[in-house]
Amino acid sequence: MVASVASAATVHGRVDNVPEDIVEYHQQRNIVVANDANYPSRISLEVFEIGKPEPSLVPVFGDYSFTIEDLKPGNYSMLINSYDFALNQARLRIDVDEDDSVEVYPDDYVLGTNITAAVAGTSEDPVVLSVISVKNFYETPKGSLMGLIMNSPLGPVFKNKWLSGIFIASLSMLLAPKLLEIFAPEVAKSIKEAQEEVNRERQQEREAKLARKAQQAKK
Amino acid sequence: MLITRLLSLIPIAAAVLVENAFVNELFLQSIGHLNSMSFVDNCGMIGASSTSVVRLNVSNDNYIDWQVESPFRDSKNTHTFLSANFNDLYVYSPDSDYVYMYKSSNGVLTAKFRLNGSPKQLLQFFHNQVLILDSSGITWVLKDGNAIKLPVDTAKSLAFWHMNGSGQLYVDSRKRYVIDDNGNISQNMDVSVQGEIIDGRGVSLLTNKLWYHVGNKHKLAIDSILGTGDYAVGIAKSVTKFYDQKGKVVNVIATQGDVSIVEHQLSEYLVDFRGDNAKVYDLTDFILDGEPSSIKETIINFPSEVDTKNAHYGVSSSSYGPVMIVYEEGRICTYLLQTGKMIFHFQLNSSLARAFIIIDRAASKAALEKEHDLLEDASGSLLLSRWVHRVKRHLTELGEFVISQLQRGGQGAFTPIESGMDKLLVYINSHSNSVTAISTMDGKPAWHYTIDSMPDGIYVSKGNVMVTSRNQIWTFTSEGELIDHNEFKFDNARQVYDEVVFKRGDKYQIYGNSTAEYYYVDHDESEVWGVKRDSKTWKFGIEGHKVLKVSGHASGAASATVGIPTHDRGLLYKYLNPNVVAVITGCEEGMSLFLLDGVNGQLLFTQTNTKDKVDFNSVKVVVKDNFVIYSYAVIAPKVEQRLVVVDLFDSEKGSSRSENEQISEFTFDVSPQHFSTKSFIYPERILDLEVTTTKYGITLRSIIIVTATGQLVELPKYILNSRRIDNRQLKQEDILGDYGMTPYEPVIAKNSYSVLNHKIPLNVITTNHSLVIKPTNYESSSVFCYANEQNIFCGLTQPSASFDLLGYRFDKQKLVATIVVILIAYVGVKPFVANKKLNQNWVDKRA
Repeated sequence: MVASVASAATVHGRVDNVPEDIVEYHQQRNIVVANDANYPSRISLEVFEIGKPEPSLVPVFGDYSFTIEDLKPGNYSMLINSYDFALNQARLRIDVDEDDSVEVYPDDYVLGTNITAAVAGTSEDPVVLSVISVKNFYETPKGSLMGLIMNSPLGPVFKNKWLSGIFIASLSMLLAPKLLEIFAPEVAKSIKEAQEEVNRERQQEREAKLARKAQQAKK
Repeated sequence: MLITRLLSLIPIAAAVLVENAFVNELFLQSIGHLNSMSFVDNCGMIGASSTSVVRLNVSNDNYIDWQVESPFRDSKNTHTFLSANFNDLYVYSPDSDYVYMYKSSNGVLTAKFRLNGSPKQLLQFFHNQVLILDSSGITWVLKDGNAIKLPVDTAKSLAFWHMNGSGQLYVDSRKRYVIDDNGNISQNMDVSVQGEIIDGRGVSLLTNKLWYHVGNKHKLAIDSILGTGDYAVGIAKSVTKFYDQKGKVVNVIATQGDVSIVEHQLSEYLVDFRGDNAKVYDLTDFILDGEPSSIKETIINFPSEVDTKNAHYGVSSSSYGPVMIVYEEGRICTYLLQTGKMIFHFQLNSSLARAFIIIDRAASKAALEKEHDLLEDASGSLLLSRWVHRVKRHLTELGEFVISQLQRGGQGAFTPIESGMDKLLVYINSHSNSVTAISTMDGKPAWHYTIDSMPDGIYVSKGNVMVTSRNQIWTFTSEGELIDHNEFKFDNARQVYDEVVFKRGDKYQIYGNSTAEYYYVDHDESEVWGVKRDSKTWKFGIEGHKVLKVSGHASGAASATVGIPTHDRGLLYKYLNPNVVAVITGCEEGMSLFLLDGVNGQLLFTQTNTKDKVDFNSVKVVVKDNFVIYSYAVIAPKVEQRLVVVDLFDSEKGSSRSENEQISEFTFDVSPQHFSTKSFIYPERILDLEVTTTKYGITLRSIIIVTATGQLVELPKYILNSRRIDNRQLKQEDILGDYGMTPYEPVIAKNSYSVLNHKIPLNVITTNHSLVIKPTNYESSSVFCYANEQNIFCGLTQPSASFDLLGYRFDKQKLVATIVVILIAYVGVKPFVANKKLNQNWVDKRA
C-alpha cells in the first residue's frame, strides 16, 4: 500500500445572478447603514466538518466568488445564508475522498441530498449558487387608502400621469349625465330633450335614406 | 361571516413597518479597541481591532462607514497596511500565513494571498504594489490579486526604496538588487556594510551602526535620514541632533517626550509628544538649505478630556497633509501638523459591555399621584363620598390644566399616560469600572456611576439595580441614586424573578432578606437540586449525564388564557405550573430534556434524543406559559439547527377534568396529563432565544431568536405549535381550535418580514450577549434589546400587531378640526332645515 500523503482539497464556487443597482430603502431616506454596499460580506458560508461543532467561515470576494481551502478527506456540510438575497441553495454537502477528489451535492432540508446534481467544485466545474430574489424587509402599512389603490389592479394606471388623466376624464364623461340629473335636473332634462330631438331627426333621415334605397332597388 | 373572512386575511405577526424602521428603534455600535489608525481620504479613517476592521467617517457626522469581521478572529495583533493610493487595504497578522486585501472605500474583500510564513515586513513597491517579507524568508510582490515570489535570497530583513525610476532592494544588508516595477532584477551585487540597513535615500544609506553617504561613513547615533539623504537626525533621550552629510552637527533641539519623524510627499516633520501637548517641527525647508533657522515650530494642545496617559499617538499622511491622530477609548482627535489645528473629533463607544439588564423607568410623580387617586376612587365605601372625591379630583385637574396652559402658553396638557416604552438598559463596563443606564428609545444616557472596583455582575433586585464586584454590592434606584453599598462575601449570584440569590459555600441567601421563605433550584455539572430556605430538599442527576442547561419560568410571565377553546366548545386546559424547571442533560449517547417540579423535585416529563450528535454548547431553553422550547445544533449525521416545542396540558381532550371530581390538595396530581411535542428545523444556527411577554399575557407570544448571521427573528408561537397536524389532512375542527393552525412543516421558512433588525445586521460573534424583553404598559407590545460588547439593538415588538396604539399617521388636530367643522355645519344648517320642514308643511300637497 502506498503511504498516503497529507493533502487537502479546494472547492471553488461563485454566486450568480446577483442583481445590480439595488436601491435600498434606507438610501432613499439618507440613512447610513454600515456595510450596505458590501453585499458579499453579508453572505455567510459556514463549513462544518460533520461531527465537529465549530464551523469555518468562508469569505466571499467582491466578484461573488469563493474558495473553500484545506479540506481534508471527510464529509462536510455548508450552510448558506445571505442577509440580502434569497438563494436557491440553503445547504450543500461536500465529500472529499482520500485522493482529494471532491463531490458537492445540493442537500436540501426537505428534498434531501440530490446525488445526481453533484459538481466537482473545481474552477472548471464550480459550485454555483444563484440569487432568486432580493429580500424585502419592510411592509407598507395597511389601511392607508393610497396603498390600497396602488396595490389594486388600477395601481399601474395611477402610477402614470397620462393614464390617470385619461382615466379621470373618461370616468367623468361616464358619470356626468347621472350627476347632472341629481344636481341640475332642469339642465339634464333640456339636454335629454335636445338629444331626443337629434335622435328623432337622425331616425327620420335614416328612414328616408332606406326608403330611397328601396325605391332604387325596385327600379 | 364576511368580516371574519376579511379579518382572517390580515396577518397577525406584523413585519417591520416602513414608517417604524430606523425611527422607533435604537442601534448603537462600538468601534472596538483599535490598535492602529490611518487616514484613507478626506473623512475616512481605517482602524483594526482584534475583532474587526472598521472604516470611520470622521467628518461632521460621526459614523461607521463599514465594519467587517477581522479575518484573524483569535489574533490580538491584527495590522493594516494601505497601498500608496489608499485604495487597497491589506490586513495581516503575525499569527497567520494569509494576507487579505480589501477595497478601502467599501470594505469589499478583493483578494486573499497565501504566503509561506506569516508576514514580517510590508513595504510600498512601485505603483500601489506591496513588497512582503514572510517569516520563512521569502520576498513576495502582491500585484493584481496575485502573490509573486521575487527571485532573491531568503532574507531576515528588507530595505527598499525607489531611486531614478528603479527600485533598490537590500536583503539582509548583504545583497543589493536593482528591480523594475515588474519585479525583474537587472542587477544584483554583494554589499558590505556594517550593521543592519534601516533606511536609504538616493546616495545615502543608514544601518543601525553607520551612516553611509557617497564615499563617507559616519559612526553616529542616527535614527533617520532626511529628504534626499543629505541630512540625518539622531534622537536621544532629551535632545535631538541634526547632522549634515559630513557628519557635523548643524542643529540641536531639546525634546521631552517620544519623538517621531513623519514624511508626507516632499515635506518632513519631527513630532515631540509631551503628554498634554505635542511640539511639531516642520523640517521641509531645512532639508533643502540646512539652515536651523528654517525649522518652523507649532504646538498642538490636546483637549483636557483626552486621557493623555492612556492615549495612543500616531502620525499619518492624509489628503489634508500630514496629520497627527490621538486616540483613546472611543475618542479620536486629528490635528493638522502644519497648523496644529484640530480638524476632526470622532467619538463613539469603544466597547459596550458584557452584562446588561433592562428595567422600567421610575414612574413620574404625576403618574403616581394619578394612580393613587384612581385607587382611592375605587376603594371608597360610600357612593357619595366617592362621587365627591371624583369631582374634587377632576376640579383639581382642571385647575392644574388651566394654570399650566397659562404658564406655558398653551404647551403641555394633562399628564400623559406613561406608555412604558422607554425602558432603561443598564450595563457595567469593566474597562472603566462604571455602571451606565441608557434609554432604550434614543440611547441617551440616563445616569452613569463610577465605582471603585471592577464590576462583575448586574442584577435586578426589586426594581432596583444591583451591581456586584468581587466582594462588594452596590444598589441603585432606577433613577441612578446609590441607596446601598456594602461589603458582602459570596461565591456566586443568580437572578431569580425579581430577587438576587447569593450562594456562599452551601448557604443561600436573598440579599437583605434573611428571613424570606423561598424555594430555589441550583445545579452543578452533574446534579440539580432543590433548596428550601437553606436546606437541600431534593436532588436530581443521572450517571454519565452532564447538566447542560437549567431554566425555569421568568418573572412577569402573566398568562391570560388558561386553555385552548376547541371546536366542540370544550377547553383544552393548559398546564400552568409556575414551578416547572427544565433541565437539559447530555451524555455520549445523546441529550435529554427533563421537566421537574422545582418545589418537590417530581419528574414531570422526559424527552430523549439519542439519534443525533449534538453540539452541547449550542443548547438553549426557555420555559413560558405551558410550553418549553429548546434549541440545539445537530452536528452529525447531518448539520441541522433544531427547535423543539413541548406543550403541556391538563387534559387530553378539549374539556376540563371531570367537574364533579373532588380535588384534594393531598391527592391532586401535579403532573401534566397530556403533552404534545414537535421538532422543527431552522435553516440557520440559533445563538439564543427568548419569549415575548406582555403586561397581561393576552397578546399572542412570539419567540425571538438570534441567528448566526446577526438577525433577530420573531417566530410566532402558532408556528412553533406542537399541535400542528402531521399525520392526516387538516380538518375544519383543527382550524376552529388552535389559533393559526396549519399543517406541520418541519422546516421553518425564513421570512425576511419578521427580521426585527431588518437591514442592519448585528455583530453576534461574542458569546457574552443578552437578549432581554420587558413588557410596556400597552398590552400589545413589549420592548426587546439585544446587546453585546459590539452593538446594542432595541426595539418594540408587537406579535399581534398593535391594537392599542395609535399609528403615527393619527392626527389628533385634524380629527378635532373635522369634528368642529361638522358641528358648525350642523348648527349653521339647522335653521334652514327647520324652515324647509315648516315650508313643506304649508305647501298644498294636492296641487
